[in-house]
Amino acid sequence: MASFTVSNPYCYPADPQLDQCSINFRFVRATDDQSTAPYIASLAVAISGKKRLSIVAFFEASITYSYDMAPGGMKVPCGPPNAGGAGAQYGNVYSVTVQPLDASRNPISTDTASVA
Amino acid sequence: MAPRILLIASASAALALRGLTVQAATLSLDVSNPYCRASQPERNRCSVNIGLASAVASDLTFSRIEIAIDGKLCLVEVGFFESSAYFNRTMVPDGLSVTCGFDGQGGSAGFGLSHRVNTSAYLSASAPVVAIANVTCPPASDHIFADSFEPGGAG
Repeated sequence: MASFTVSNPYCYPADPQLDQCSINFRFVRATDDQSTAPYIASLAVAISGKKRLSIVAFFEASITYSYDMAPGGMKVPCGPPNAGGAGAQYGNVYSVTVQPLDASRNPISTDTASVA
Repeated sequence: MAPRILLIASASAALALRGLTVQAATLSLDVSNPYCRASQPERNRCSVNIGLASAVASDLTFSRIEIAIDGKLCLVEVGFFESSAYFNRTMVPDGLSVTCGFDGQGGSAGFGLSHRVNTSAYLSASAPVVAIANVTCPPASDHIFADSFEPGGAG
């Protein structure tokens, strides 16, 4: 893996009346120089351990995700104030994991952000 | 590549794990064109958005951008081992939901309520840089079509 960048994860209340928040990233980029195995085959995003997004490298050595590829983001419950323990201004706190995977779906690298 | 873990509530601790020395950092914040549109005027729902916002720090003590409307936190965007965050309106396609208010309710005829939009940029351990804008929304309306045009007489 030559480089792996996760930039600006964010969360906002998409529909607060329905307790619906949305998590997204400004961008994620994983580039494989393909000099040594394992080689990148896909990229997965999981929220609280649950897979929410998967992007495949289709005969290519890099994967780029941009926020507008999931226009409504990934929906999660907002939760009541301080539900995640981050303070009264915040609701739930989610563990968001981004992993480039090899052809056997084993992670080549892992970045985890806690998003409130 | 070793796993990297960032906790939003303890960014300074995460940075410390990477062995960084925290020095006096500078932080700049630019906010451009906050706006309000009547997304569902028949339901008294408007949406606030910002054309562009960018926060750039001089080092990795950068923490996050927060957008609050009328004191209520509406968006958190985190610097993930990076010294900046950029926001543009398409990152929240439907905008941030607010009440439109009725004609004149905010004190101006033809408009609805005004909402205070605070955009704050944070380093991990200092007071935020804050940009404050007052955005006035269109009023709620009983009879309006989704494309914002009133029905005409033609046809």
